[in-house]
Amino acid sequence: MEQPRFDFRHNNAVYWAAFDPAGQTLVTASLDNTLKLWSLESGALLHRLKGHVDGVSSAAFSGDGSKVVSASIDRSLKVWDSQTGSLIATLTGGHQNHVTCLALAKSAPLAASGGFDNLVRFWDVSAGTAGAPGTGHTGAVKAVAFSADDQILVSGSDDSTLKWWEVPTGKALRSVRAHAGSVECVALPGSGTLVASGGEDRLVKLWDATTGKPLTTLTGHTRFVKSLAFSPDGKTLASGGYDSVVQLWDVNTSQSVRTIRAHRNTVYSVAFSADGNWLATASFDRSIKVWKLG
Amino acid sequence: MLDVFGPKVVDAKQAFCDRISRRSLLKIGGLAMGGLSLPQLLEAEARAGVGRSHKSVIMVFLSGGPPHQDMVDLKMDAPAEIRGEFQPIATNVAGTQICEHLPRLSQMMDRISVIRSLVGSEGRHAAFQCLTGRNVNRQPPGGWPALGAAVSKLQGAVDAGTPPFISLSPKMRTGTWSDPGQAGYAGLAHAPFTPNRDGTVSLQLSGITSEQLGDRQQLVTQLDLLRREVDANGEIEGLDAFYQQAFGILTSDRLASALDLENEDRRLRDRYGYGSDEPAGYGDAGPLNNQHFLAARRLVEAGVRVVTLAYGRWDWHGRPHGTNFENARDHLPMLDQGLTALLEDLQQRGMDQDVSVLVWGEFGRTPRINKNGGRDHWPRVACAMLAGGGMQTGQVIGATNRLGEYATERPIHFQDVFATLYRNLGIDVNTATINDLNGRPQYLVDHSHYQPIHELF
Repeated sequence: MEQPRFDFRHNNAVYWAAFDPAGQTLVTASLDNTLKLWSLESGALLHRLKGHVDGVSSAAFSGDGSKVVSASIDRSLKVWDSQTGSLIATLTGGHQNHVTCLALAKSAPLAASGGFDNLVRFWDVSAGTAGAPGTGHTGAVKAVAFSADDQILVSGSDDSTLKWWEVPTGKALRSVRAHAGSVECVALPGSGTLVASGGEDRLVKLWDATTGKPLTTLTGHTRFVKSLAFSPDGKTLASGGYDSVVQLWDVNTSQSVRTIRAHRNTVYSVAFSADGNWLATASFDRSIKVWKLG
Repeated sequence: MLDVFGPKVVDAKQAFCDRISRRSLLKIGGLAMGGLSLPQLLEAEARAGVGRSHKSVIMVFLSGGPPHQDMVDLKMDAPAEIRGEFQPIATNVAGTQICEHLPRLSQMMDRISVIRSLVGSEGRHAAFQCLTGRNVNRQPPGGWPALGAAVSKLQGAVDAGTPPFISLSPKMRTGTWSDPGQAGYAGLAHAPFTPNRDGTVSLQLSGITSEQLGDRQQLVTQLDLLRREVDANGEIEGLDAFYQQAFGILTSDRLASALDLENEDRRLRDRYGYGSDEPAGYGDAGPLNNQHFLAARRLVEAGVRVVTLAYGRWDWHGRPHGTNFENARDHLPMLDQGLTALLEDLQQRGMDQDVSVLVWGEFGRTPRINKNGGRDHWPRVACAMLAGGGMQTGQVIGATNRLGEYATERPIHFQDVFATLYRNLGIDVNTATINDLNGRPQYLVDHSHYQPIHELF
């Protein structure tokens, strides 16, 4: 079996992995209440970020890579200095229940989060303030993702729907019943007009981002699909599932082009580096594996 | 390595001038030997038919309540919302199946007895009932002693350098899980030694030279300081034993050596597997550290009579903390490795007839899987695994109904299990008593209702 370039560990399930824009550092978020920053040159653990009092569900680098923003089951977001690992700010008051997902806009200090309170929230990360709540979901919000131009946010929920939101007003634009059962993950490519969603029904679906019309369905996972990410060129879609499997899909042909069976539990996160050369997969099995592509 | 040795720099507010903390001395004070004289102890052992042999117990507390129906009592005839995700696998005991995520255990089932009908849980998220066999409410004056405290009281120490009762549980956010076991009316002298809890400084008392250690006057002076504190708190029982035990431990490396796993063969350490000393569940619950199983074996080998440890977080209510099944896929293979290593190790050392191993939690989990993929608390029935101790193994005791809701055959109470452990330790629950703080003799279990599990003998 092919070996990953790096095999990092947390002391509990790993819920998220994200590359910095320069592709030098990986941030990982875990149910052990911490985040870790890893060097992708040496594989060394650079910092362990402690401060959340419950599992950390998601994390992302700011556009310039200088900050990491994290979202936690403890209902808060935190902003960290990615160089020193020090805590800069804690953002609270936006959610009345677990925060389960997070996305950062690329062009502004703007974050969006979703939670078990069924809300979508926009945040001014610089000011540390929450905007008006995005209401409409009737189940926990499991996933949020910005469009390439940061003008649209798409969310997925336990209520089986995908919703389109205007950024940053939070005005609801569109709602689509997307999956049988919960929507577990959402991804938008860096360019183009697609939305990808994964669900409890074991399916990956592609949607027209402009119209919300369904385009195609990718089948192959044997349990619910938990994580999705587009490659930077938009040609490849990675998915991870409750079946512990990672699939790489050719977006044009809708065919699986590679299957990675290296985890022993649900794959909660998949992420491509900005240059498209690396794939990180994070799992409930406590590991993060970094794969060289191509 | 276990987190046995505490910080070298002790909080100045807590430390004496030579940097021994009051707390550490108090802890060592809590190790004191039981109240029996050596002749009394020998007589008691002879009466119990155990001679001079060293019987002991290793109790693994699965903090949070393990899912009985996903481990040793799978319900394949139940509907999907109850049955769960896992498949049963055959074991080396004909007709007995357990979860597919316990493959090593499946091949050692002949060394285990499974109780599928554990009843009597008070439904409290606490180690208390697993440590004492009793309910929290309506305790007698002084409180129920934990198993280890009662054994310490009745049998004393095997060796002057090792306390009879050790809890490897660390501090946790949920204090009721991290409860190491109270001394109760057995007296403070029989409280557990708790090397993995915060505030315990080195057993070698870092900062003290051997010359200083040999300076009896210095130590006595410090003990006197402590004594004044203890007197002020009314905790004066067992101070003679306190002195003896403190000196015993300080002048023997037996306990420190047992806790230093670097002394152990690397291949054996690998066989047990590893893990983290951090709480297994998002800042709470026991650590999922298989080296604690190894430490437990080394401790009983060194003379400890009762070792307890909290292991993992088994309180699996579901997302966003992972489904019951994701957590089971995480924890069960670890338990499988650690427990089978312990049983193998005990057998290879010829200790399996003397050491009773018990694995259980405070309750079972709901038959119906909740909307978040979890199972909630279910005190009506739970499971336990027993091994060693000279018991008849390779059997399943009791049964539950088709949905795993309640016991249908041979309900076994927590106190039945305790009666069994006491029997294995050479203590007759029908005659042994300890006086509560009112001077009233208290039996170790309610023996009019609960007795050793006869199928095991």
